[in-house]
Amino acid sequence: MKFLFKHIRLFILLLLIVWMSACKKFLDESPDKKLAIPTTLNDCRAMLGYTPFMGTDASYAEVSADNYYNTQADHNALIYEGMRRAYTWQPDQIFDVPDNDWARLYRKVYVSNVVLATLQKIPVEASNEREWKTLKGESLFIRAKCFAQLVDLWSLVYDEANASTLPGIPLRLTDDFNETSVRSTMQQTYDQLLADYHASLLFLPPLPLHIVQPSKAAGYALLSRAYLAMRNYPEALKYADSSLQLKNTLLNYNTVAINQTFSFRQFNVEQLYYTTASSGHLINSRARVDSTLYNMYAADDCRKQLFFRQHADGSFLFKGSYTGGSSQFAGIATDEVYLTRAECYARQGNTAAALADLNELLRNRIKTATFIPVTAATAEDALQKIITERRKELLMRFVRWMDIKRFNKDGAGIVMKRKINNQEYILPPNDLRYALPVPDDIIRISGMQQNPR
Amino acid sequence: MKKIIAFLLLLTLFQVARAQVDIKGIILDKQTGQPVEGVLVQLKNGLISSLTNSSGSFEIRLYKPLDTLLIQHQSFLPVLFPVTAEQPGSLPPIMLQPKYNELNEVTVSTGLQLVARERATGSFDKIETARFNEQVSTNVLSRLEAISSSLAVNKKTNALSSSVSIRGLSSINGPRAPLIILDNFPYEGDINNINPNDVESITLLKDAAAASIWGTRAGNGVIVITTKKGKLNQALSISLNNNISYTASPDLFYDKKISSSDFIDVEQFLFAEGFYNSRISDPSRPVLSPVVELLEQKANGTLTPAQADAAINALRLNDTRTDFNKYMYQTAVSRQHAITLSGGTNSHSWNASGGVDDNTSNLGAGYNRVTLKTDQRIILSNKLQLSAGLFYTSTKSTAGRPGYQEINPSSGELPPYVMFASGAGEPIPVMRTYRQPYLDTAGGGRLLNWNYYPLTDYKNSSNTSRSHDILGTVGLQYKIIRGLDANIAYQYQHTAGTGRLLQNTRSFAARDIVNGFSSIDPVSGAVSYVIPKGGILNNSSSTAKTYNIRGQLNYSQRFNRHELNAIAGYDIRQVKSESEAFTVYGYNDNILTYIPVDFSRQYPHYITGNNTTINDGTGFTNKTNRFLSFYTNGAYTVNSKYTASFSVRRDASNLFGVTTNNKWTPLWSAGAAWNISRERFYKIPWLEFLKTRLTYGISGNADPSRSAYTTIQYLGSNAYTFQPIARLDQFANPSLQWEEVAMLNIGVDFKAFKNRVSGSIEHYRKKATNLIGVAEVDYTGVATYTLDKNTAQMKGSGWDIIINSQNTSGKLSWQTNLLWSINTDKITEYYLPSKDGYLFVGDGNSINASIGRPVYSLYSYRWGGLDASNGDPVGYLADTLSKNYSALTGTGTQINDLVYHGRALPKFFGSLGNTISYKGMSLTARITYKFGYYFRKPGLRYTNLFNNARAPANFAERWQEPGDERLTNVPSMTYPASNNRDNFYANSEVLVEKGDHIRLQYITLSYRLPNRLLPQNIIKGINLYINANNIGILWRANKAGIDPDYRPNTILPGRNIAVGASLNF
Repeated sequence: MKFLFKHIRLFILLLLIVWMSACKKFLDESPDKKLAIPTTLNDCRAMLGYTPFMGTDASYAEVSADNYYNTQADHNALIYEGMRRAYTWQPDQIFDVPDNDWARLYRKVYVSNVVLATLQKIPVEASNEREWKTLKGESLFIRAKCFAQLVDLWSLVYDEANASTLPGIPLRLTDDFNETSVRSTMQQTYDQLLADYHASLLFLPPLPLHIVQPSKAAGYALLSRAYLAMRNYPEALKYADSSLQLKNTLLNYNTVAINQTFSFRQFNVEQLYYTTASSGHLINSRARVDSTLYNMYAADDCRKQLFFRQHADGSFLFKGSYTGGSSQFAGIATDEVYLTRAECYARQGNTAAALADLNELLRNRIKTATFIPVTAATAEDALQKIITERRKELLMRFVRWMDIKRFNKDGAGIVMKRKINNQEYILPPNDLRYALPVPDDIIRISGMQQNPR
Repeated sequence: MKKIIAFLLLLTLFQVARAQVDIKGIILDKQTGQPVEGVLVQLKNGLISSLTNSSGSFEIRLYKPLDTLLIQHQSFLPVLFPVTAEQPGSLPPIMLQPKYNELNEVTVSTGLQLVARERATGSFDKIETARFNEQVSTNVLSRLEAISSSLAVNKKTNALSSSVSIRGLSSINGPRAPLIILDNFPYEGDINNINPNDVESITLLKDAAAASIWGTRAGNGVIVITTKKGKLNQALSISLNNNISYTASPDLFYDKKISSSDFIDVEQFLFAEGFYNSRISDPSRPVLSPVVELLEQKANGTLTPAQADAAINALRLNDTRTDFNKYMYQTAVSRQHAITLSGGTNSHSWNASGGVDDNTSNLGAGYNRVTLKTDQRIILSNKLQLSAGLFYTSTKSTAGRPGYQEINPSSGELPPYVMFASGAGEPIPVMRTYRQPYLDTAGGGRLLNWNYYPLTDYKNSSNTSRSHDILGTVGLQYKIIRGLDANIAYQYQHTAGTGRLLQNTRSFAARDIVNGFSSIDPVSGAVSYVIPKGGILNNSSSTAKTYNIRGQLNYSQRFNRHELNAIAGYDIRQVKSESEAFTVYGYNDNILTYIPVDFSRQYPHYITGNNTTINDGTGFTNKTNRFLSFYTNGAYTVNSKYTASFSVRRDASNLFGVTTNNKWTPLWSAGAAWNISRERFYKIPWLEFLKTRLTYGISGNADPSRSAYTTIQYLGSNAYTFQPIARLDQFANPSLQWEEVAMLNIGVDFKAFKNRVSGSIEHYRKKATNLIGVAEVDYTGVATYTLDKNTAQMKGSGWDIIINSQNTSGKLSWQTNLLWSINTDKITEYYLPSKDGYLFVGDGNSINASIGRPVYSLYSYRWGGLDASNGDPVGYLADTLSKNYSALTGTGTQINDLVYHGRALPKFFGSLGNTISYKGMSLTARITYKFGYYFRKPGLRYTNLFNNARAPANFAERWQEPGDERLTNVPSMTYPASNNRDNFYANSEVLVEKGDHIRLQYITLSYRLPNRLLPQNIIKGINLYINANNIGILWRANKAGIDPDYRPNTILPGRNIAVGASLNF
């Protein structure tokens, strides 16, 4: 007892320490089992698996392109003014809902950055190495795909000559949102997205558990698409080839039933990576397919029936989405990779290889009974045929905007026209409006540089 | 059982004594001369006792010729009064001396201790039983608005508990609900589970000093509910209360909505413009209104123009509200029965009560509640006391018919001409998700009927939820030495709830989902079902368990002229809630069978072809909130004149909302009071009592939803990979600071003119830093458009005045109670960079950016009239007329360019009640009022009209031809609609009205039956009452007939009248 009194302070201190640690434990309980501060691989997997965010991509690469048109009545019925302004390539205010393409892409960038930051804090061990690497690869892949779409929409076409002076996009590489957004140069943007793709390929599995998840096959395919956007055809060829080494299956359209509301199932053997995109302009009761485009399909082309349904007014609407529904497929599939490889072969002068790829695709598109392989006298002839086939195959796949930009840079001279309320709107080749306006609220809040008009 | 025996024993004794002499007496307060209610009058042997009634009189039976009355009351010194049997009839009045030679020692409860009002420094508003019971309701909170000072109920939100605020809002984005304390512990359950008949009193803690004792959760004020308890040495008392109340059907025509004929004209116009073209040709067959279908049939030749026009014109006369009135709404009826028993011996007091409520709403929804409650206090020794309480509440709610604005198609609102019953009362199919002509032929008769019949569909589903709530409290109080007590209390609450929604095989929901997931073989025509035919049953259950342990030391001592009261305590609390839900398909309620379905696969929809999985309706939640608190407070009084007080509290919780360093938040207050009327120099004869008090304290607002970390929320699993998925929930926001509110409160309590006038006048000043508001963020860097940010600093001040007066006394008594609050505030600093006008126009619910203006101000775009040539609204850009709507509603208008109307929250508000009593009759009427604020009327938005079928009736007054601009401010109809133009008009100055109004809240008439009519010795009192509530607006400043308390476009609750009787035994 005497001892106790003598050391009472010590005892009190000890008691306090014990008590404080008990308190800490008591207060460390998670307030909601469904809530977590992301710290584990499972948390990362769960964030990347949230389809409403991660499975949605930008739509303006098709909205602003020439695969479709809206009638005047349908145009006037579009709910937001910004949508109407976007249709006629107005220089500003084409995004007036907060849920716009900019937000859709940058929120995926943010999730990827949160996952990357979380992974950084998880030590790699033998037991978790595989999943850790897969997650690292997936988040780099997703970030790169977003950057690629962003630079496609908000920057002019890539040109080595002035890429280090033209504006690119803001490169958000951390999850710190207090950083001010600053536009990088176009060169920096492409350097970053290529680096991300290349890094992702070190970590991704050859093929995914499910095509809603990234894989090497899809990574190569998208890397190939990125080089195509840069008009770096040798690299595009290399990675298209790498992708097809891993997966080259095509769906034979002869086996697909006609007269269905939507011709294709949600998932098919061609898809490498699956995301969707949609917009009021593109819904399948509103987006009429350009008649020149429709007339390009031969009568024995299965796509003529599988891709289109006729409206009561005689025009044609698209029903061939690889989503199996009314939204459009914004991922990537082997048909595109075949066409990319064919195009690059043709540009190399390798006519035989180019035609082999083209015919492999067409064998699965044209009615078997009447299929005759395409021939070409020259590599240039083959290239023109491949480019035409690319247009016919990849409508509503969000690559047309990129294609127009790069073809026009090479002098294709594609002029896009819209006619609404007795007024004709023209987007001439290489116009400054090929870089869409950054959403006005972003300019206002961040003070970022707007694209010159 | 023991009680019953004691009761029977008492009755027997009465029998024995019947032959003896009755004596009557009256007990008065020596200081005021007023009768004293509730005085215990006992014969010295303690067996026979009686209580005085409200007129101070009592009756007792002598069975010895000589005896002594022992007269006791907690606020008065006890008196011994000898009586003899030779003094039949009435005794001379017995005068009681108040304890401490004071007026009634009124105490107020902070939930942690009882504070003598006399020495209180803080701001309390105590609502006594009598006033609380002037209204009849099932719910406790709904009565408070009219009768408490500074409490406001925001009727623009639905949840009652989160709509109550005390002394104005501190923040608009944080948790807004005040903390509710039920018998000393925070109440986490459903406030509707408390039976108002069990309530003894309610105390509102208004200033920082009063509230800070409850820590971080008290930033929005504290409501302390004290339930009825037994008293020591009290005879058995039984009271019964029964009432029935009727609420009229609401007036659906209060919603001033576009007329059927006008809406049909709009649809015809839009049809001609091709607005519906894409929907008509959409293969997913989205629903179209009946008029659009007729127009389409006219266009494609199915109907002749004459047939179509005749059918359309017939619809012009319809108004869907007549069907709602006829088939959906009825008078609501609520029945309430309550019984309370209480008694006490010298070592044991007890109370037991039971209540049954049985309500049927205007839409036929049912609500049943059974409450049982008991309290026990046992004095185990002169050092040790045990108290225990138990509440049990069981409720059952059943859904009723769909109400107005609840039968909506997927395309927006129901057009005003759509009826759901034929003239003969037969159900008519109503537009819902898919086009009617398509549904009529879908599947060629092989599918289930795909029509939606709102008239009868509710009969095919039953939606029932039940809850059982048990709340038990045990406490031990131990006297350590004189003046020092220790008590330890434990509370446990267990709430179990279940929900059951059965949509049977005939319900639209079941038919729709069965058809949607079915497919027809094009060759054989055979239908294959993915979802079996049958009902759909959703079951859910939830439990919530709350544990609370509190240890507290209480010190209370008088040394001559000094008095010290202090407490210190430690509190641990855990609230754990869990829930789960599941759904089965093909359910047959008769034989309890169901048919399994495959939730993992995707199936194409029969109409749209879109692939979806079947909703498994399965989910789980599990939440745990933990709190640790230390608190202490003390008050030191000298000479019963000067009091100084302080309090400190620290709270910690496991919420993510705070980093570890901030988990412990100290809040403190200090105060002083001076009882001037006790000073020797005080010589104001007519002002008997005068006290001033002053407090200053800091309160905070902890919002659990705000996080210092980025958090994610798990949401089930991915439809394709079956791996768990999670959404970002909160974004690490380390720069966010807690809101801190410092409040200074100065009060004066007084009693004057022999207590005929009493009340308090309080002035408070508030300074809030780091007010949290919503700020736009650059969504390039984060997956959200807005984040909570510290937005502004504000200063506020106000007055709360309470005056009670006894205008006349005697036979005709007239009392007045006036509550008058003034609340002003202004922004002193604004932190966010953007001052774009569009951020601040609207309904006044965003924090204002102009220094010197009220925190919530109503701003508008400046109005330049309508363009005489085409009826376009015109605004001002830099003082020149402009129709550049994107600039007007964008960066072109800064906050300084806006028109400032004034406050969006009332500056003056309160209520005035008058009670007139004559003999047993008493009439109370109370008005409430709000002055000094503005509100915005809903404006016509053509985008809404075209896309959602919603527009106000003043569509009829729109500009149509040159010259109209002199008569109207409603812009012309343009097509396509421009949302910027709509926004400009809807937020322009022409739609703002003054909100000032006076409302007659309730009238209560009660009649206390004279004693001579009562059966002697059995019934002590019968009180009959009638209460009319929610009577209506007496005066309003706006000419549009709008009740500014309610959200625009909603219907107002109907008037309510209740009749009832209470009996005391």
